[in-house]
Amino acid sequence: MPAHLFSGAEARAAGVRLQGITKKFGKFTVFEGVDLEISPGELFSLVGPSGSGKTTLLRIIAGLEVQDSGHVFIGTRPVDALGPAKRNIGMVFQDYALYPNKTVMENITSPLTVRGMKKEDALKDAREIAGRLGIDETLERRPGQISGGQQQRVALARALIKHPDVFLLDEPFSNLDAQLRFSARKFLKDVQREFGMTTIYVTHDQSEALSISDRVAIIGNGRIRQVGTPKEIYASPADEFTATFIGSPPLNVMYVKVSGGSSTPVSLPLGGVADGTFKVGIRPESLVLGSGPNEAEATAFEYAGRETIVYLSIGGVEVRAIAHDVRGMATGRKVKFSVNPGGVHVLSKEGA
Amino acid sequence: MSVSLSAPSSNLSSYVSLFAQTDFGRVVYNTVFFAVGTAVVSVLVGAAFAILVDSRRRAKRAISLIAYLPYMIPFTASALIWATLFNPGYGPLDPILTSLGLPAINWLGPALQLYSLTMVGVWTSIPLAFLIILAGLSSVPKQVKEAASVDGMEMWDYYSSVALPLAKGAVITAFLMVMILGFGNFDLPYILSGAGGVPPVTMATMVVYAYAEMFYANLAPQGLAAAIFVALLASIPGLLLVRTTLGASKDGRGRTWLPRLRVPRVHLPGSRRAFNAPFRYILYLVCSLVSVFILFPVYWMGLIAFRPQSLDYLLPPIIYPTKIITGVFLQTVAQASPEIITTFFVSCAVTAVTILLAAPAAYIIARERKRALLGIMIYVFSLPSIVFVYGIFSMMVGLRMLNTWTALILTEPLFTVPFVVWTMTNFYSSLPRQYEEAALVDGYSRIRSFISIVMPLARPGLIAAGMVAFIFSWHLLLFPLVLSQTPFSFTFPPVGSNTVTTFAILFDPDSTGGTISNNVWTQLASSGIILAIPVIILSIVAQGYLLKGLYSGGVKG
Ligand SMILES: Nc1ncnc2c1ncn2[C@@H]1O[C@H](COP(=O)(O)OP(=O)(O)O)[C@@H](O)[C@H]1O
Ligand SMILES: [Mg+2]
Repeated sequence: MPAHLFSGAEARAAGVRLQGITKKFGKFTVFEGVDLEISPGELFSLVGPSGSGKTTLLRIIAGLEVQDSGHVFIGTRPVDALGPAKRNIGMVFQDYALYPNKTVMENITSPLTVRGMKKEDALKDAREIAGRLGIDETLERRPGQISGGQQQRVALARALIKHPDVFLLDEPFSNLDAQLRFSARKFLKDVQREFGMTTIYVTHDQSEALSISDRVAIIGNGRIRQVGTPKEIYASPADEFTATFIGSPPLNVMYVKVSGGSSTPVSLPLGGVADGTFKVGIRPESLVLGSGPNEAEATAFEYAGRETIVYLSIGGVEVRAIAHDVRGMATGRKVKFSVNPGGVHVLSKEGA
Repeated sequence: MSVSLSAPSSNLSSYVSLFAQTDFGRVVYNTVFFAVGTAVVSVLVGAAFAILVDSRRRAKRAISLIAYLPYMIPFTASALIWATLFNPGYGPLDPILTSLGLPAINWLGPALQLYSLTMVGVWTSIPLAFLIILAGLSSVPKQVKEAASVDGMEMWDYYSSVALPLAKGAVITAFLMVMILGFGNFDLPYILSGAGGVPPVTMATMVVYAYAEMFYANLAPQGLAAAIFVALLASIPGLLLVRTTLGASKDGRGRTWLPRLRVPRVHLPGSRRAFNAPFRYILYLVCSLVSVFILFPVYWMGLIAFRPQSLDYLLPPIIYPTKIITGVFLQTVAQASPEIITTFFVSCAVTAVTILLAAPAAYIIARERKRALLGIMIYVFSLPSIVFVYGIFSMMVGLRMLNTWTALILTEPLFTVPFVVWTMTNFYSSLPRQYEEAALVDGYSRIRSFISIVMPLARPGLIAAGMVAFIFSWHLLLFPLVLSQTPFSFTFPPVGSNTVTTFAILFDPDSTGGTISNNVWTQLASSGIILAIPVIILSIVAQGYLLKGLYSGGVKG
């Protein structure tokens, strides 16, 4: 395999910096004053509920949408005045956006030939990248004649072939079925490691973001809520939005009263919390069933293969817990449990 | 009144005598030149405007409105206005040409009149080509367009290698539709050749020739033979249109026996990059020039309708506004009021009949996939109305219904129904089936589900289809002309089935049966505006529907 093509990829990767980006559609403000710094070579995810503006932010980085204020830098270069073609980005669209009338080969070479590269050189590059992405069998076919997974790879190839400084992906796997999505995720991560390009990945699926990213930004209600590694985000969410958005099954939210170091209706390991009523979030997996200081009635069981989701009624609130062994439990019976300290987040203090 | 009803001869003698006519070859040539020339030029110009609108972020609406403008002026009014523009000596085109250092042209003289006719044909057809091609270009998915800009494609790259190849079906549809309407066009050649008698052979098309044979020369068999001949000519694009439309429809199934129009892939020469810069300039230049071409006649119509008659036949002609009067316009409205009333009620009735017939038919076609029926509708639409006119005329004579509203109401749906069925089929196909399925599960009968579930969902489509039927009916010329026997028994004030179109071409306060050459421009333009006003109002409202209905699908990933 000729080594010339991607040997310099590592060196090419450029960081991306967003400074005070604000975007409005008419009177509606999508987000305001967004600052982000993405390091060279990093796989960075932008995750948030649908409608939170992820696509809009990605399109602003690409130059497909113009921000109302703020600046975009790629590397050290401000790119606000440049069109999408001049920013040297590669982009994979949600529906792949392959040219239906062109063959796979023509799709992949189009970013090169349109810049005036000689056809033979473009074909050579395309064959190489197609080989590396495992689509060399499909080169003469049209996008309509290949599978969704293959279309996906063609879109990756078309975006990668021009050695982009930044690689942008907008929910690229949402059209794949669950099985394929799983392998596509792994595939993307491998490709990203191999090619070393700075990658910004947009998804509404928090578990997907956590599983593939070096770092994640949570976006919601017009702001960046938190930026950090998946571990940091999961273990210490910065606010209620992030805490409730991350995790599957979702965080249990309830009110507890703390006085003199102990809490009701559930006894939580809340070291050093003053007296008062608090809104707390409890990760389902941090409820350890079987023994402990607490007792609650099991109201329902949801079998999920590897584990079972057990619904408990605690002080009138329905709480989800994850159990790996449900022997001896039954609907309507009491279950003893304890709570791991790592999975409890104080969200706010009542009346504060 | 001296029309004898000779039955069409059952042998080939009328065809023989038709082909024996020395002028026949010339008439065929005129017909083909007009239809094909109009189609080629209006598709090129329509595509230029469609690309311009599709590529721009701003001023889309304003540019669209220019390209759409001639669509709001019925053929009859367009032809009347162009006839004054072409007026030798007194028309406004000569001073424009001479000020540019060009010689004046005898537009309607024997040497040039076919080209002038084709030019007017182009003027009236640009909007249709524009609308269909724009619909094709806009159906390219937004993400594909963005991918092209990320890849670094510029205007020429994108349109030549992505958008136009994807919109190929739309371009073909536009070309065929304009050609079909060109073959069948009666209004333009009839009016531009003087609106009466036997047209000069240098510009007569088959349709006008057939009309003259049937209703002036008293040679109905020859006329019918000519009508069938032009119908055969129009069948070529007609059948291709059937094939294209059925081939492009959503479910994409169902091979038909019709041949498919294959357009070879064109590989453009050398480096495409070299085309990007000049392409934009050429596009802007072409569209600017064509905009002037489109706007001037409309400006002229407004100008001459609202100025004193004394300013009309002057040397040199006055082409800028000086004095504005509204008296003649209002007086013309008053004089045309019987025809306005006739046309209004007839068009309303035709609209009702059309919807009653077309809505269920289109629904059945859409849901039961009766593709052959849709093909027949499109084919009937493509037949020139001249083939039906003599039979209908004879029938109305037999029924003693000549010169009545009923005659118009019974016959006009022949044009409106096929077109509305076609567009409504597209509309129904785009409605999700799940509501009807839910209704069937809930125990509704098919008919009840159609009436209480489908009809309310389809209301926007039905309203727009009704508007289209109204517009069609409002500006028909040939049928009212024939069914009111206007050429033979002109009475004023008009009675029976005279409509605004026949009023416009025959109105002459000084004489009866006058032609446009001795008409008063102020009144002529006023009647043109009367003709145009309802169409302007309705076509603005129905514009979105037309876009959607005429060309749907065709671009798929
Ligand atoms: N072109 C547009 N015009 C008006 N509103 C838009 C446009 N694009 C997006 N929006 C709105 O901006 C918000 C964010 O959209 P988007 O960036 O697509 O969100 P996400 O990708 O996170 O689902 C949504 O409320 C959406 O309705
Ligand atoms: Mg999105």
